[in-house]
Amino acid sequence: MAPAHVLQLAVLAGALALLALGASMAFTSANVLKRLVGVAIAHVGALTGALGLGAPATLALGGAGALLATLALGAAIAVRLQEGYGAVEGPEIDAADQYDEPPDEPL
Amino acid sequence: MIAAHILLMICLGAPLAQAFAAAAAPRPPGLRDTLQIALSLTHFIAACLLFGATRGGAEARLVLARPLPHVELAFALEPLGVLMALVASGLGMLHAFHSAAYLRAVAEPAPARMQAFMALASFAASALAFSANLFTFFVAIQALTLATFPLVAHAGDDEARRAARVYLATLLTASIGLLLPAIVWTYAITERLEFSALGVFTPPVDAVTLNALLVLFVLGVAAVGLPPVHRWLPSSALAPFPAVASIQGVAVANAGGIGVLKITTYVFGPRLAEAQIAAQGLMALAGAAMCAAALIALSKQDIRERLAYSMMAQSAAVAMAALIALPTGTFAAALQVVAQACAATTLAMAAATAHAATGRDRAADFAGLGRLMPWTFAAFALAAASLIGMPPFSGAWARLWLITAAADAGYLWAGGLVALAAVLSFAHWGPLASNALVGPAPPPEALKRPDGASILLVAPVIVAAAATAALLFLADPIATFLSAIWRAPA
Amino acid sequence: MAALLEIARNNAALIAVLAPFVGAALAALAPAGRWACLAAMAAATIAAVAACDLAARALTMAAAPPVAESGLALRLDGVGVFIGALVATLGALIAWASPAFVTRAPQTPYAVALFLLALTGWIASAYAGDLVTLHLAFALASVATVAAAALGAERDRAALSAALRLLIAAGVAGAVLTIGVALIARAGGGASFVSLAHAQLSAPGAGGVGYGLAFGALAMMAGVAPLNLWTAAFYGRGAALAVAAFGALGVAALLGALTRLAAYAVVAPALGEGVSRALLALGLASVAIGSVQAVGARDLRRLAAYAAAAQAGCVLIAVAMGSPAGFAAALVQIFALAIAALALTIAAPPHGALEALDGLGRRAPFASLALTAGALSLMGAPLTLGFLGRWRLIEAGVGGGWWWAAGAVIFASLSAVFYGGRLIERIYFRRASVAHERVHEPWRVFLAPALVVAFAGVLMGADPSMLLRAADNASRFLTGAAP
Repeated sequence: MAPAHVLQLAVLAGALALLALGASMAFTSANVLKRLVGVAIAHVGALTGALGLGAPATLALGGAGALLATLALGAAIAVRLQEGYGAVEGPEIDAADQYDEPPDEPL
Repeated sequence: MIAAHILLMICLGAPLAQAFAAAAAPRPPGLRDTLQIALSLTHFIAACLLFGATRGGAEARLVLARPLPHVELAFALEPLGVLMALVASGLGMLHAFHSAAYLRAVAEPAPARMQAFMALASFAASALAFSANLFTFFVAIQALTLATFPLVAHAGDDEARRAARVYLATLLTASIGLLLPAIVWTYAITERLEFSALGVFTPPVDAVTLNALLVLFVLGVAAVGLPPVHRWLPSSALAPFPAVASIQGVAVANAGGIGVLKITTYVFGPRLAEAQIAAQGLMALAGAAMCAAALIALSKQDIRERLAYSMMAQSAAVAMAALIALPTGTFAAALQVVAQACAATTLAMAAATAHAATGRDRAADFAGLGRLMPWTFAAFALAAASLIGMPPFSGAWARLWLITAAADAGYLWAGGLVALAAVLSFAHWGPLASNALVGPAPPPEALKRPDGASILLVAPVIVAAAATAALLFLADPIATFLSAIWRAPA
Repeated sequence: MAALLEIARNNAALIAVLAPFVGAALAALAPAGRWACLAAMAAATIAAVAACDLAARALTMAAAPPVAESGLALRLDGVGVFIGALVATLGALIAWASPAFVTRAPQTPYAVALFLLALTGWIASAYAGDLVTLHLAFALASVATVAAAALGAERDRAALSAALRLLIAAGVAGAVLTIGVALIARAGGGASFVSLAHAQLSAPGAGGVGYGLAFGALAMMAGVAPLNLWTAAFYGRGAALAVAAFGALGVAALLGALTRLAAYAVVAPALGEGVSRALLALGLASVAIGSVQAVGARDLRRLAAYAAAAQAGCVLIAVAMGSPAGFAAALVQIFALAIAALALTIAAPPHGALEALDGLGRRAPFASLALTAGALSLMGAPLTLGFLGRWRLIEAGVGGGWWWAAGAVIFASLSAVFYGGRLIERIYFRRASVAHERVHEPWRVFLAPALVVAFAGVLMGADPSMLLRAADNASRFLTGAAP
């Protein structure tokens, strides 16, 4: 296998690993800011992989733009959550909303 | 002479108008009841005229929508449907008189709602009777289920709601889980859904598919009450008496019988003979259900529950007859549907009259009531005799034709099961009827009113019983009328 | 004038995308909420007219014109034209209903503007000429929807939590889609739909992974189970306008994109069977999980989310068949799903618990009619679009020997009868509880679009010839070439 090809595979593997790490962090973390960091890691992984595969520049640029917009919006939401709930931890926010929302019947 | 398609529109529109009138004009009660009776009378007259027109060879077709390629929501005249519509409208008219009186007698808190849904059930039953194809048939069955489910839940308490859920779940599961796939499968194979005396499966379909489809179709028409899709019938026993008469007498149970008849006659037609494995299996199931239901009915003290299980046994007889691939089987089934409708409606109305007059609804409490209410219980006894299959009442002729058809087809075991079921039916109706008539009279205080039940509560029962008795003389005209099925062009 | 009209018709897709974009700018500049709503109504209506005119010419005429390139980044294929018209029309209806959601708060014009931006993104995704444009369109729509959802925090702080859920899901899905697109482009020699249609895959393995990631991302965003853990909270807590927009428009656009992509994947010799199996498995799982979740739901909007998952599963099953009949059935099902979702989310009372529906038939008869029609369509009652979608699915499944598919659709229908029937039972057969009996919802004329949608769902079920013809033609011109 040509070295360039091996390098590309390694980059792709690393990118997918970052993507998986970021996604799990985004979905499982309790802290809002950690979740946003997870999204950022996932995007970085995706963009790295895309660049490594020689994807069109528009894809990379668009992805980067989407990431920036997501992070900006996420930060704004985090600030508003802190103001509204006095917390940025998911369980505390969910508990505060619980009175308004009847739990679904267990499966 | 009114055109056949106008009469068809009236037959479909009158019960709808009845439902609308009940909802739009719930008060004063006099106006509401007058409209109900007038519209049911209109329905019956139109059905009679339509019967005459069909006998004279008239044809009519009404198309309301085209929801799929080559599929219409359409209604048409054919002998089985016209016969059912005539019976249902006639009984419906009597039921309209009776229920108006009953609802006043028991001071029902929501009479307009009950009358509206009973009228909708009548409309759905008419729609099923006149359905021209399987799609319309399916729509009508769904409409019938949805129109009658509120009747079961009418009392509004937890028990009624629970029963209504079982009722709805059973009927809808069968229609969506079994009947709809059968219809779509048939459409996928044949690209046709139109009812025809030659059946839908031309060119021929392999035997395995035919057998599978027969099982899906027959069990999919859960209104016929075959196990395992029979749970709706006992659940319907929690409904008020007028609703029970509508569900078990006038509309649903008959719709089931006619539904299975239409399937075997107009969908399978001559091809029914090629689905004999499934047919025999279903006949065995029907026979077992007939006997089991008749036995279970014996243990039920609530008169509505006893009637429900009795109707299950009667409907199973219809299914068995319909599955015999002979014209005599079809005739036996049709006669059974007519006989059972008249007898069940009579019984239900008589029980309702007794309940309105005395507050009693348990079989043990009926002893001797015939001495206080002789006309009502004479009608009760006559209807019971028909359901048992005692000659000379119409139920006996239906059973006789069924046994004859079974013997002709080589199914002697089926004939034996029918006879056994008749004996078991005698066990759960015979002593009850005789105790009511000859048992020691209860004290006069048993009656809520000194003069007993009002004439409007008793007269419809008597007329319905007379109709049950008169069927004895109508077997031949019915046979002649139905013979048009096998003379009809493709 | 005729020349101008001709130019406009030749660029209908571009107009459909640009009109809401311009409308968003106007709405943001509007001094008050009502002016913003007027701008939204005008812009969305122009988009809807353009998209429907395009669909009528492309899909329902006797001799359907061949699909064409339209501008640099737009491409018209059967599914895109169908979905574009659907999304634009429903967007217009939501725009006409928007005054019902409007308050006098200063951020209302921004909420309307963000809704129009999201609409721009959803419509653009339907006409995207390549996967990059598709990706960007979804990113625009998602970010705008998140922002619109977050603005609902002025009324209810729970909207922030809903917006965060969507943001996280959209962010992760966007990342997954990025790398999926890159892999597909690498394997197929380009990211444009043209190259996907004609190229042989040089690296089937990479292509398979790419398609898998892309489908996964789109499915997660569309709320397909079991990837739908975020949807219930978003639907249940989000601002009404954002939820209605996403539930109807977003889901339709995402499922449409998934259908478009699948049309290329299932015909690729090296990939077709694997893609088909994967979509079938995901579809079956979504039907089962979504149906069970919907049966247990105790909030109307959450029920809508779970029901959408079950219906989306049916769409995936239809797409997995890979046949023209399957794709046509998928489009009809998407249409029915979007209509039902819109009827339910627009007409839902402010308090989402199912108990709030008790006795609603007396307190709010028109809203009840809309909810009932939506529930009947979900249940697949005859003569509704839901029934039509299921019939076509079962027919396609039985015709192709896909018995699993037919069984899954029947299971979805039976479950829908339970949860849809429960809604109708509460609305008409129960008395309002003490907490809700004094809440009478005055008829708001801007609820009319919900009624229009709901009744359209019923009427089109009675005579769906135009819809069926459009869906059949759309499936014939899936990849831009006649079969």
